[in-house]
Amino acid sequence: MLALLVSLLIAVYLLGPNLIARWAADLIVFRKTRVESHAEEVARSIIGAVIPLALAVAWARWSGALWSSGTQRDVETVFSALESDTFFQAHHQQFFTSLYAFFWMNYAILWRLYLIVLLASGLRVAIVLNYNRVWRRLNKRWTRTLLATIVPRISEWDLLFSDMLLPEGTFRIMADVLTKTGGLYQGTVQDRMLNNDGSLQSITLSNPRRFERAEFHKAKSEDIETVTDEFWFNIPGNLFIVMASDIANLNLRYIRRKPLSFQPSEEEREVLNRLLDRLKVPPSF
Amino acid sequence: MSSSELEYVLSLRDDNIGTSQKRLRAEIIEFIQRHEDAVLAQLRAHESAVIPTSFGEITLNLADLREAVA
Repeated sequence: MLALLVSLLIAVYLLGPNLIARWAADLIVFRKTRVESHAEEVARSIIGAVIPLALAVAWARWSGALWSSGTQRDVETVFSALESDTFFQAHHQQFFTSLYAFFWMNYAILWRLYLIVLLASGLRVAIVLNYNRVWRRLNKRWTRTLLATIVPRISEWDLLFSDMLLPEGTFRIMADVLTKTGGLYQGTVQDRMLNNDGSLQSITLSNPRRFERAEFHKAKSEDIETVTDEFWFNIPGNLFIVMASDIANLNLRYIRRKPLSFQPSEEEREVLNRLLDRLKVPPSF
Repeated sequence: MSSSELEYVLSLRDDNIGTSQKRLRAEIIEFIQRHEDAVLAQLRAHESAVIPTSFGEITLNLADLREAVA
């Protein structure tokens, strides 16, 4: 019975908070799963739970809720009775009274512990969702590295393909994909699929187009002035999936959805103004 | 990914954004200058113009152009 109680306490005090923290992290980033031994798992949970647990106990003691529910004697009675049948038989009545007090003592700590873990997880989610805004306000490299410790064990691919950590404003991620068979494709990254270990499984491109390399090289050998533009061909469809196992290399470029709207130069304004001015004049037929 | 690696990748990506943005804008402006009549015709017909760039085809809406010079 004692082993059962200890297991239950480990579960609610250590593993529960850890599960909540992981669940919150999974809401915002694709975490890499690592195969860990049971001992590593427990050690990680203990280290992660120490601070919130210490805070919860301090809070419960400071508010008086802990000792108003029961005393240290109740705790000793419960553990002694569960460990020894003789003690249980001798203190049968006292055990159940202490068990009741023991339950409420744990309740006084646990709801505080879970509230602290939920608040900390919520704060972490908020910081990661606004990561770039916070990142830009930090000027020193060590403060930025410190900030990075708050991000869960994120997959490198998730970081590259996600717009979550991008600066404010809407971005699109463009990719040039060279396959192992020599095909060159280009498009906007619409989606990515990752394996459990965080490795890339596939990417989905929208508005895909294919570059005819052979034709280009042939034309180029005949005319040195040949430009690449005429050798891109649109691929019908909006869900072009490239399996990671077929990719030889990948060139990613991040561009704003409204590329001209962000702080245009005087020269750019001049060109655009001229265009808009001409647009006001009705076309002559 | 460790925190220092994350920080490094974010810095690289920040540089990538700056470089890509500069190049894309230069290509768009250059195309508009070279093919002003064609762009104008597209804007008149569809209130948007498709600009071929090395990043792919970029669609510029009339509203976005007005926003850019506002």
